[in-house]
Amino acid sequence: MRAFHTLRTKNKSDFALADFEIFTLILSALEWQKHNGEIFLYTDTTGKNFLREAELLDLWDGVETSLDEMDKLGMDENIFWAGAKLFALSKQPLPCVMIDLDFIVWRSLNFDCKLAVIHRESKNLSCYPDKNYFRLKNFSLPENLNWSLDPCNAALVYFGDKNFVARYVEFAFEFMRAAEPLANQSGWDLLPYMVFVEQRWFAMCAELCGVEVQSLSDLEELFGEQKTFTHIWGYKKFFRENPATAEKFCRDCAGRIVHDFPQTVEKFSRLPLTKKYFSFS
Amino acid sequence: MDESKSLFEFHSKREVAENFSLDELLPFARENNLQEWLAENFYSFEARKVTSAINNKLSDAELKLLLCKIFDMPPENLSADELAEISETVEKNHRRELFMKKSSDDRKSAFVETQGELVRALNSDAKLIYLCGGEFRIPLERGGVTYIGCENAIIDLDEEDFIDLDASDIILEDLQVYLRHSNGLRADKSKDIKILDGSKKILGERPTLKEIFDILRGRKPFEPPENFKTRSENIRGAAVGLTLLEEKNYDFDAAQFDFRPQWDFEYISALKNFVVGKNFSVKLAPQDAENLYGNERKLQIFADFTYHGGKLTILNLYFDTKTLGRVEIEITEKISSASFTGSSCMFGLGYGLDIITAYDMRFEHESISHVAN
Repeated sequence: MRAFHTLRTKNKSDFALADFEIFTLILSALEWQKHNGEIFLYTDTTGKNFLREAELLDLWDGVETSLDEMDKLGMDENIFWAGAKLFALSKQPLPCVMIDLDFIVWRSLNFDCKLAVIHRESKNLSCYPDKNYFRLKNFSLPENLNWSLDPCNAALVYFGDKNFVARYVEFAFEFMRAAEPLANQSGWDLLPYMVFVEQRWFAMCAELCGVEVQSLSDLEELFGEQKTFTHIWGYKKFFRENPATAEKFCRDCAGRIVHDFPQTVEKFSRLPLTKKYFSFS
Repeated sequence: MDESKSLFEFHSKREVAENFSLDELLPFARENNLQEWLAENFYSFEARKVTSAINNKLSDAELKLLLCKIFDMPPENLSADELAEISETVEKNHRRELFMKKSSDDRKSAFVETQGELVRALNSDAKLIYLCGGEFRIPLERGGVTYIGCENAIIDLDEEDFIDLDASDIILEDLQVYLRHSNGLRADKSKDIKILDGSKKILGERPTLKEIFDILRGRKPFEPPENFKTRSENIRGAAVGLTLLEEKNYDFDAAQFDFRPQWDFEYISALKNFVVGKNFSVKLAPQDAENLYGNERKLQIFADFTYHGGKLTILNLYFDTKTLGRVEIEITEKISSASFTGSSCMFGLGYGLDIITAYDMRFEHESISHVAN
């Protein structure tokens, strides 16, 4: 099963990834290839250059820089930081799996459905306000949207329906271009915009297309005893604020790479961004 | 201080101002040397003013201000700290003059802006005390005191028994009074006071506090998750904290009142992941903000709960005000693309990290199938 990662740098000259982010994407790519198939990276020129210098480009089965086109899309990527995922999705042959860089799948997955997401979210959370919350310029939300549906977390998504993908992506970019929050809004005020287009609209669009959305799991199971999925998620902020814990995490990842992919140890023991975590003496 | 310099070498105020700093003049004033110099050099009125200031136990800042005026100290001769200190003292004096009314009441009066100043005023046996701008605790056992409020001062009463201010001859005027308990207050002699009820533990009748604390303990081992979910989602309007609004925290341009909550530790298990590192505010137009500040400066924070990811957590936070009704609290935090991958992440950090070190997985070759209906 084909999968794709997305890395959007907005071509910032000072772009860098933290060590724990490097290890997570390494495991994400390698474990997917081990259990499920090919995985490709969609990034921009700066992202590709960064990974080339880090000697990590060969982690993926192919690397595309089509995200360079996003500069002309007319959307605010500070609000829609995950917009690149949807842009990359528009470039994919189907079926495919969209997977976050900080998401690891530890087993083989088989999909006998048209759409699947890792889990649903509760629509009652404050980050999912009703339609009156959104300020949109020259754009109105359709009347036939079902606001009672629980949103879909998109850390891992299986897409098997072309009609759905076309409609999902087209409306998403119209919304993102039309979004016009108040100038004094930031942080949590803006979150509803991103999660609406990525998660809530996903569920609404599936219903409008007549496609059922399967959930691979739910939050209780994911935060419980399951052994299939890892999602770093909010730990990224925690690791940034706790360097010692981040370092231990990197060493744990290095240990796992040694166990699962011993043929790669020589390489990672040499690379500037990873070598210090492979000294096990 | 230059030990070789003596105050008595000089004979004019200008010379003194040029040769001594305020910090050097202060000890002269406290040791009466400055008053002697002033008197010897025919500045009798100024000498009496300094003597009176020392006798009235003025603070160093207030003494410095007096010396600035007497010696016409040029502002450029003052340090930044001295300027700030003196400016603050001048402003406080202006407030005092603005709010302390001339009256026939010959009791000893005091003008206070902090709890510390209130304590000093009470210890100096002041009976007519002006409380300005802040939040104060008054001793209910100290009778015969009148407290007059200005600039939306507020008194916090944390007495569990019935409070009879009249019996103690404690009189309140122009004050907001926050009652933490609901056992009653008698204050017929007081006037223009706004009573704020801070005793509510939950809005509505059910669930009871006992039921809430039972839910906070978590799902019972033999309880179906659906049952716990229902119980969790029934918690609406629990008082989880309180806050005091400060007018300096109102952002006029953003029409936003920022505030710092004080959380009730009974709810810490549900609150801890939700509130750490967050900013809290309410969006209010200036008129509404002014009304709320002027009528209900101290407010309880209420929460609705929900069930997410197997845990009880907060769904909404809000004030339940008499002035404006329900006011939703906004939680703000700068979010960068590096922190989140597209979801709210409100309920925990991440999952499955333990799998990274679980090398002895027994089900490596088992696959997961999903079948369409």
